[in-house]
Amino acid sequence: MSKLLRMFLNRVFAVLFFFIELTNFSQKQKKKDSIKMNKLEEVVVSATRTVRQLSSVPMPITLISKKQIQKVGAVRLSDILTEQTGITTVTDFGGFSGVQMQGLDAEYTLILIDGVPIIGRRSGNIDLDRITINNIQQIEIVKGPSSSLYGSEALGGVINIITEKPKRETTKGSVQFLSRGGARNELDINTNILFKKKHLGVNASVNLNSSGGFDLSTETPFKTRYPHKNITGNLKLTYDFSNTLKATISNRFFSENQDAPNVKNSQKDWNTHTEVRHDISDKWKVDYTFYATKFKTKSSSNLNESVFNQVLLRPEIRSQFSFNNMVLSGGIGMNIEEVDRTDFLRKQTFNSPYVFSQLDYKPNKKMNVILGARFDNHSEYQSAISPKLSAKYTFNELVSIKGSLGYGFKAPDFRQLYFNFKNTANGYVVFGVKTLSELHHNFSKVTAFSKGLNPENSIGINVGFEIKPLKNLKIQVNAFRNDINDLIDVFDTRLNAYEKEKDEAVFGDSNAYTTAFENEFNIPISTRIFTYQNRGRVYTQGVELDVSYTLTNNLRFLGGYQYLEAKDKDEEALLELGQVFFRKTTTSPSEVLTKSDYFGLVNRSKHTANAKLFYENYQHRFSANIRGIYRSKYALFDTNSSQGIIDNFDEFVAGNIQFKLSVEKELLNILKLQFGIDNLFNERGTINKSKAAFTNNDSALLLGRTYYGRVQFNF
Amino acid sequence: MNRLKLILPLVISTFLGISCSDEAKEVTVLPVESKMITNLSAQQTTDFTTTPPTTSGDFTKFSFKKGAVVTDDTWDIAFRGTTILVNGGTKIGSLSGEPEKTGNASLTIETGTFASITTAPSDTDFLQDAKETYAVPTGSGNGWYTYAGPPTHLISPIAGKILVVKTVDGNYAKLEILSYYKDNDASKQENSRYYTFNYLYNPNKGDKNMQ
Repeated sequence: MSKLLRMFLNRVFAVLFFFIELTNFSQKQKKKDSIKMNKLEEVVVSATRTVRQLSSVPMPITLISKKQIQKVGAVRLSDILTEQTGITTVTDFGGFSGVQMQGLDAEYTLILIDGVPIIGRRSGNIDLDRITINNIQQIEIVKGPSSSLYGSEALGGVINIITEKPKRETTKGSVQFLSRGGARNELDINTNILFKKKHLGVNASVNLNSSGGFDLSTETPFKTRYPHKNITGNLKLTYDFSNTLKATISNRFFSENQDAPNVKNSQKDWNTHTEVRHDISDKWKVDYTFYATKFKTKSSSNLNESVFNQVLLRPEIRSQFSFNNMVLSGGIGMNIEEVDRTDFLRKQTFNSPYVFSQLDYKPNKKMNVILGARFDNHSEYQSAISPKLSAKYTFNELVSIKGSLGYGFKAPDFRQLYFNFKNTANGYVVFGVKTLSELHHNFSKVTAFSKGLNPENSIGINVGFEIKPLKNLKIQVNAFRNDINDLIDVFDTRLNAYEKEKDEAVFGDSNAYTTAFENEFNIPISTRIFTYQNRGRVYTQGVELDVSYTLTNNLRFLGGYQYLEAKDKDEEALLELGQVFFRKTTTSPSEVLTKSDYFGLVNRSKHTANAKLFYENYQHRFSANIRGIYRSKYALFDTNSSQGIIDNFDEFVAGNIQFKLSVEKELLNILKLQFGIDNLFNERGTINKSKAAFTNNDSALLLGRTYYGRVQFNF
Repeated sequence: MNRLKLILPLVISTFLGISCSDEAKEVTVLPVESKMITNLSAQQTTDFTTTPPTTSGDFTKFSFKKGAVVTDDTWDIAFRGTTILVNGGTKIGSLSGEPEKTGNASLTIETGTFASITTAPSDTDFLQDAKETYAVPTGSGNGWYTYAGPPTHLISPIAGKILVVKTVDGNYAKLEILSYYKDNDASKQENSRYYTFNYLYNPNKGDKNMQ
């Protein structure tokens, strides 16, 4: 770690000097442009579902502007999230990259476009490469449980992608090409038109993205990622009936085809989001919204075809009422969901109505308190009440403190309820809880497992402060702790034919009970039967630090660091009992594992950091930046037979630093040229290849250096 | 003198008596035997053309008393693939090539390090094979090993699982499996089904001391 850190710092300093030289050179010409730096106060909508100034929000929030996205050459959501403090992207076994926030897995972060969810989680992940970020205004990231506003899945927080809406009369458009080469090739073509005249506004765009895929370990017959082609279409229409009655209809369409050997995968999703806003008076506003979305995947080979179809409809009415120093807001709505997939008994439908309310109170100029709660009703699992309390106190212009305490939950997913998956060739079957009790409710052993599932739930605390010791220096610190209970996990029921025989004591010889067993489950003897249960308890805690330092008018430094501990409470309890054993080498005698050697959950790095330097030359319309992203060692799985527990003696994926570089030049107001290099020093994680536990494991390797060029025409 | 005549045999006989009992003690308390067995071959063949697949082959029988592989009925435990049988109880039944049970051996899987098992547990903890039930449960994570599945297909002995065996002669032994691969080299598939284990055998019948 220290060696890597030193390397990291050396490189940062080297680059820093380079930039300072550049700045000194360019400084003389620039002064008059400094007005540009005094930007309008940034606003966010995700933290409270009302428009708020970024600096006034009493919970941890990150804002990523369109400008920042363009400066780093990011075209897909995954490209930009990796560079944010406290966010790590983790690639799952299906090759999809998901987001890890405050140490919580991807399935516990809700991903929204304009406040409505993107559906289609696969193994719990929303594939971040599915989402183009070319035509957006900004990305807002709220950390900490946000179920009080958004309901299910918002345990770790919310990522809300805000699309552009034409505000004043305009007609402008852009066409852009991004081409990438090196360790991975990619082509991203994007066209966008923004138009507003009188009452009508239009934002239309088409994005094409394709890649030839890549292979991190060429020794294996499988590629890490297979080639794909996708298209995204967006059409947003706004119409102002009057100053107090405005309507928006957003439509999005996405389609992707992927070719793997002998398998063709296709993926489609579309959504339409209608919103009518009525300002009844200065103080009272009402939003009527209707959201419909569909996600569909198909995977076909010569042998079989599997499909996944999901539909979500959501009517919702929100209202906002302002008093003197209070804003009372609330909403009522219903989720109507339908899922049909291979390995389900039939199409499943369920409705869950919900209601939420929030009081935003400012007793004086320095103090802000927000109290909110939401109730989600459900027929298939226990209903949830999610309260949240946040507060901020501003001492003066230099110092402010804030804190929030909230409850988050995640509803059991469709697999956990309805799976009917049989892989008898490999000797196992997996039943969802509902399927198991529906099919086998007469079997006495089954009733013990079919009590139903609770939503997974968490309590999250965030406490932090912000100081501005200098006019151009801002430091933010946030400490967090999330306690997650009732985690749903697959487990072996250990139901078997013999137990049935012993239980019922009616079968004399082995043939008889084999037959009886096969009749009950219609599967061969000694097949292992899995189902789901609320069983796990974990916690994550840590500290986040963000520094923003404007060195000169041309040069800005952003730095971030997160310390993280993510541990399983049941594993800790086992360790305290001295009941966990491990082997120092694969064939050495067993030893007792102590709690002090416990590392924590897989895929978690204790230390993550980023450092970014942005340079802007206003006169020559030239900008450049360099960013470094560090991640300390992390585990992929237990490598020393210690009951799945990750300890300090396990094999780890080594810590790594990746540098990224980008330069941009604007010509004649209509043309922007950009060139960039990702993973500048070609850090490929090859050190992990020599570790026996990671033989032929692509997860332990990193994508090498890539180059990209981008041309953008604005008209 | 008479007195001396009287005392001398007494002294001598006492002396003899003492030395005799000392000798007897040395005979009964034998030192425990600690040993490592390497690359014990436990091959099997599986026919995947049948449903379910059928596995066959001779079990490799092991005797703690001899500290070696045996071919007669004096075996305590027997190995084939990941399956371990004990020479006691009834036959599993559905197993092809299963040796006859001639003894009354039994075993139990204890949790701990090899050194921490200092005495054998109470006899009620010991299990024997029965019809379709193994004293050492089969399957990944159930008995002594875990199976990693594809792509490595690695069989790893679970840490902290110590087999305590009551042998066919009524002696106690403990055993920790260290490796399932020839020369501890799991990189090649063909190296599998070779056991390496540490064991400790107490040659004093019925003595539960395990250190």
